[in-house]
Amino acid sequence: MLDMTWLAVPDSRFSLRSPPPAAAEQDESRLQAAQAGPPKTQEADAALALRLRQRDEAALSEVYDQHSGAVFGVLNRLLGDAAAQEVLQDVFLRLWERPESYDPARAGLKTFLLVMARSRALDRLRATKATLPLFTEEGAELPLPDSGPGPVARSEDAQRREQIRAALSQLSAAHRETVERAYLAGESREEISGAMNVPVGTVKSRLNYALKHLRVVLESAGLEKAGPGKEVETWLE
Amino acid sequence: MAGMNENDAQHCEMVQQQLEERVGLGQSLTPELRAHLAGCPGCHAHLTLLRELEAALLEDVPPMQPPAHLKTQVLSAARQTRIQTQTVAPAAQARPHAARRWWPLMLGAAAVSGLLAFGALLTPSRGTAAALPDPAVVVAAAGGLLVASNDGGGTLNLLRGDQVTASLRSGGAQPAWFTQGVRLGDRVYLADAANDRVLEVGTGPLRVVRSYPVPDGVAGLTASSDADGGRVYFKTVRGSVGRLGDPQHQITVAREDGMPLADVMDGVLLSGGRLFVTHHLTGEICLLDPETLNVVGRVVVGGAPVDLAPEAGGTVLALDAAGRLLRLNAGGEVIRSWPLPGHPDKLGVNGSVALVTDRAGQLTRIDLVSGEIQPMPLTHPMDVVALSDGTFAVAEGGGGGGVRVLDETLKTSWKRQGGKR
Repeated sequence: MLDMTWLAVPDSRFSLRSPPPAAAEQDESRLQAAQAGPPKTQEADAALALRLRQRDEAALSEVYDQHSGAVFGVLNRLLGDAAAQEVLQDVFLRLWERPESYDPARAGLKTFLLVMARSRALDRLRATKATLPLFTEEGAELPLPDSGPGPVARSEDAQRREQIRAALSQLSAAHRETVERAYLAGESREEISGAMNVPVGTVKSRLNYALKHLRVVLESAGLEKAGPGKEVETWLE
Repeated sequence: MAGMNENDAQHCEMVQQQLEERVGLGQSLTPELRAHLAGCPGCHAHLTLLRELEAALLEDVPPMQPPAHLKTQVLSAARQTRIQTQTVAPAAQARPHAARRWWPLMLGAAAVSGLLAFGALLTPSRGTAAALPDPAVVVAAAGGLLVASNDGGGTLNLLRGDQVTASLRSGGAQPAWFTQGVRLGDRVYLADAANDRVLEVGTGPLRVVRSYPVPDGVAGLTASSDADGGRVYFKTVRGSVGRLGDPQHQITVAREDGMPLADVMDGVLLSGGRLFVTHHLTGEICLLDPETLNVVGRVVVGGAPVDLAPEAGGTVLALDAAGRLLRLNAGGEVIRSWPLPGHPDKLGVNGSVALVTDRAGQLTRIDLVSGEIQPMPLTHPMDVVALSDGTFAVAEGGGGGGVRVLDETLKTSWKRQGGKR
């Protein structure tokens, strides 16, 4: 089970293309990310997105410096070292070839890359056309909600992400493992059932419980998005 | 339920189950699901929750440092796609052929295939030595220049003037990725970051004499001659310092657990009886006893120092990739600083002129007396070395690259164009 010490994990490295921030600045920026959203990150992501569209190779170098560790961590966990190296290159080259597929108003660049990496990894694992990652021949499918949230909403999203982390940390080890197998490792309900030696019904009930728990935590924090009101919530239960 | 009948509720339940399965399995949404989501805020909110759960789980996975050579392969492949997309018809630009993205891997396969014929690889070829494919490192060797290429096969070329006189492929389990070279007598030592090794290369005739494994990855090299024939010191990516051929004797200068930066070198230099070693992660210059390798001093200079060069008079120049050139005294303390544009990572010094190269596309001349800074755009300058006649040799990577020799005023004396083998 993963611990929740994400703030202590060195999850981003300064880029040689942009001088490292002073320690106090790093602390401040992390605090902002944890509490009120990452406006500086959003600005930086937007600037990088623009430079990528202008075919600025130094921008790709910066993106790689900032996010390759996180992307490789996910790929290594899902695929092992050799395949992770191949897919890592594919992820960054896809961003280079299709920079317009990333919209900084709708998602952080790190999140975008991580979701793309997972998608590519699962695609490779299954080796089937039934698993379509982010991109189709018709165009890009964005990994995050379709409604463009804008700066205010992205700030709220950061708070929601924190609440989701908190809610995940409150789950039992079995629930957390089930959730990770389903929504990180991409295992089917049947695969999880076999791996954890529990009935499929138990897998489904654990996942339902986890999602319900997330929803409750978000609601109690006043962060549930427009959607299921109380009546629908009752129905979902 | 206000506004929702039983059929609607059942349909939403089914939709949300499908959303859970598809997000979990990494599958795209069907047109039917998209149509439903467009008119159903409840199911849309459910999808939002699933996406955020997925993102939170992904961000919780601890990061891992990818092998150092991957970054340069990504950038090289990106450069290749740009060059190719600039020359193809617009209709073909929408989606470059998938194989193009995998050319580094194909080169890797070629290298592996080549390794099977190892003996043939190390045989110099004089008849086909006209090309300098993707030069990455240039070293002033005995009687000429040794140019190491990151072309997949690890091609080494020996130049006399601007003429290629010998060539061989060094091979390797991975496509070679040369990052630095130093000369010691009639030998040249090349750091191959992709294969975690240092190659000892003889130049008369051109041949690979020996391969020294550096399991932690080689980040910096320096050579010094002495009565015993000389030593080559190296620094590893993980912060250890050692001598080639003496695997039992290494010490670490790293004090942090943080990840090293991919694709970044460190400088190592013997000067004034001390081994100067940069540690770019912490912005430190470490001073070591060259015999015991004990750390005898540390100076925090800030930034990301990545290269070192000696000066007459015993001072040392240190290049900070964050954009500074520093003059250090014998104790490693900064006694002068020049601000530089960009993020240069290689340094060459001849008398009162220093040249630094930034792979993003710039060469910069620094007059160490007047302080004048003179930039010169180059496509992908990968390395610079000072030559004994006061000129400089620059390795320029990429399709239009090659090797260029410039005088101290940045006037190009000659250029050997790159190309594919």
